[in-house]
Amino acid sequence: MKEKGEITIMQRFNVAGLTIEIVHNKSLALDKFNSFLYFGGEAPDITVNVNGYKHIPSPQGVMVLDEKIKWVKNLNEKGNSSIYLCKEGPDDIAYLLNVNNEWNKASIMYQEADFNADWAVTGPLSEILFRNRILFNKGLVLHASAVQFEGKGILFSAPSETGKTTQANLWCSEMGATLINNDRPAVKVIGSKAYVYGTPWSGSISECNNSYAPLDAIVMLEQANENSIIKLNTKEAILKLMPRCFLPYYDSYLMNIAIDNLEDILQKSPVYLLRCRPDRKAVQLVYKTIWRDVE
Amino acid sequence: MKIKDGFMLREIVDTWVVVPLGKRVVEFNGIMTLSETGALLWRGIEKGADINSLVDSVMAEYDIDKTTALSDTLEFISAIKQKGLLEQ
Repeated sequence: MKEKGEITIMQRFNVAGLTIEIVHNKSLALDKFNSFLYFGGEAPDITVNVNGYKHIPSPQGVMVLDEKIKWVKNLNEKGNSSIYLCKEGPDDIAYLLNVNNEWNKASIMYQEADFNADWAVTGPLSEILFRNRILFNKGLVLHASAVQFEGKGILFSAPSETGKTTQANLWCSEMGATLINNDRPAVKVIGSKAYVYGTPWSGSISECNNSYAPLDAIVMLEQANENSIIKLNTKEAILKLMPRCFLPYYDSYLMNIAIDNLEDILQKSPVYLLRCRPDRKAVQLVYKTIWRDVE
Repeated sequence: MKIKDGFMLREIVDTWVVVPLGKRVVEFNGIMTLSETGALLWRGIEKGADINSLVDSVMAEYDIDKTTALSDTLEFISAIKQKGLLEQ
């Protein structure tokens, strides 16, 4: 809880072109966010006030998600949401995010005895905040690995353990590509192009790069004994890609926006199915196909 | 005949998709695509149309005879019933 005389520190980050302003009473060590530090002075896209409390009262409203992460829609006309994580029982709240219905004004509370402000900002609550806010900026967050090579961005997506990281690593080692993000890249449409961006949400710091590239191909992966690649039609692409997008299944208003964005992305970036082995030939096949199709 | 709450029908480019929302996500576990006729029937059922109205709507939209339209309509209703999308 803030006391008289305490200072307020403001830190700014720019993720996928969205400025996030974090306000707290001390400077936070936000490792994976460091490369996203931003010093621009324009109005932020997202403002987050972070405060520690001895006890966090349970939010009032309708529980729309009751799993490890809980989501309560507040019963007020503004349609605010509270999303939280518990330590033990349902009333023992460790971290709680309160956010307005446009997902641009938020506060994150943390139980100060056992938890900390750094994780409050870098953990899943801020990620949920970001991926819902980016919907309003023609964007989406996906479960994928993203690389850039010769100015082109490629997304590899598939269910876990299929080989996204393997393909991304092969592109880096065999071709000299650079990794944009290894788990949660964002895709955003600007004008007539879709772009893929790094975010601070991935496994380790080296996987969270503040870079971006035009999204020239989305490559859905399947393991196989032989390498082959085909371009998917819209229906095939939707069935493969949609389950890999972090969609707002608990809010029909947001879902409509998310689907608009997905549609926009599908109209701007081709989706391929790569059945592959974890080898150099798979990389060459993707390279030949995409560079042939784009140029 | 009523479609359960918590499903959203959307067209994405040229493909009709049914997306579950809220608690339906766990029950349904996936997304479903529909043909043009399927989407037409879905919208009709959402509005409370009975079988005769649904058949009429299919005949009005496509150049097919009543027997085929009825068969397509019943097949669609049976399919979404089987997938648990209709209220019992």
